[in-house]
Amino acid sequence: MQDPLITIGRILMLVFPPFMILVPLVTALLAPQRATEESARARQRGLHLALVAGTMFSLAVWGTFVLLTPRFASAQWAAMWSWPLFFPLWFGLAWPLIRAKSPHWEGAMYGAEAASGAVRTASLVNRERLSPVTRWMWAVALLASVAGVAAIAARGLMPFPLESVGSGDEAAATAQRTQWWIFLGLSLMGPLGLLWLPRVLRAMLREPEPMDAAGSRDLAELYAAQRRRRVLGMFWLNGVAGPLVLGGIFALVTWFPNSGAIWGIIGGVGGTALGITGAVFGFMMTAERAKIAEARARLERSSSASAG
Amino acid sequence: MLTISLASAVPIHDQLVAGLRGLIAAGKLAKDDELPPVRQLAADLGINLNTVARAYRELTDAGLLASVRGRGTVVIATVERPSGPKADERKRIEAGLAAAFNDAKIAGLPREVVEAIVNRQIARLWGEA
Repeated sequence: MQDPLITIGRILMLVFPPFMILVPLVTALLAPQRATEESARARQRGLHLALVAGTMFSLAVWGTFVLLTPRFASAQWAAMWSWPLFFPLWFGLAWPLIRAKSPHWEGAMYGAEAASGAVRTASLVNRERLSPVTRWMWAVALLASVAGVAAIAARGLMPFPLESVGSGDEAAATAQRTQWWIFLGLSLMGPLGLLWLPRVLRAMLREPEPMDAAGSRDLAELYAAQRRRRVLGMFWLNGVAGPLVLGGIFALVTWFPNSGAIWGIIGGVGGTALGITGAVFGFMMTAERAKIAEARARLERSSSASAG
Repeated sequence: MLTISLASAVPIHDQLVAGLRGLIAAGKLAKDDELPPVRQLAADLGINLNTVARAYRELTDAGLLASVRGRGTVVIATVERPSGPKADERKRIEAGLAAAFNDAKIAGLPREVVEAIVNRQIARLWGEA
């Protein structure tokens, strides 16, 4: 039962770095081409070449460590930790390339779209009152964040160690009790995060939604739909999925300490999946905002053309 | 919707006050309606927070808006609280109208155009005669 899971975990740890290294290049290639000026396209070509070269180099670094693993045990660790090469590739090359391909990303990223144009129109609806998160959703989040803490706290009612290991009982008891305290403290991040989440969601509802001069209804609907997805996504990821993964894994390790390696792998995979989902979600939301900024620019152009 | 123009010679703060007063006068903002938080309106218009806060404060001083706990800024009246004796208010408004008519005359607008503008504004706020 244990061996296949550990094998799967090792395979996942092996393929995770090249996956992360390839993400920036693949995402930049998939980003739609919206730049029309030749100077922007020339800049893109330079960034594109640099990104391909950087990706190849990073893959070579990872591959070298993998090949050295049979000879040096530390090479396996180095191969696994080559995944942070993702960061320079993403922030240094892929992100500038994506922004160069679609100029509206700039505004969508930094809220700068609000500052464009001489004529500015705003809705007078208080968006803080339009939260799509209902009371039952908050109840689910509360349950998800408290369940893990309760499960871990309940372990404190049982003796330490949970199962006798013979002469090493005293050491096992100390280790399990220390682990229990640490996990109990860490699992409190769920309920504490839930106290903070309403403020985060309110700030998201207030994100700029500059209208076109005519106050187009279509644009207002685009904003409303995107706002709903953005707030709900943030809520489910941070209010429910995060505390469930965190609390669940800590509770499992606390209650079944002898299977710690398996829980470690499952927790690692779950945490990574959650992190990747959050990153993809954030990227998609930015892409949607860029599309809305583009739609607004189109509306502004058509209204100034009809006025002219 | 509230619109301002950065190209206008009128300060943004005055445009905000005039815009909100116009919406209240036209009945588009009714008593008990909530206004957006200062941060939201400032972000949407891409202007300074303090400019919006100052406009809200001016309308609050005039008795049109109030800050209500749990609701934010709310329209509490559609008629301004007189800041002085009734006769002074009337003089102030007459002086404002006189200045607008002077502008119209100097701009070369014919009498019938000015009459049409005045009638349109009266119809907008008080309805057709």
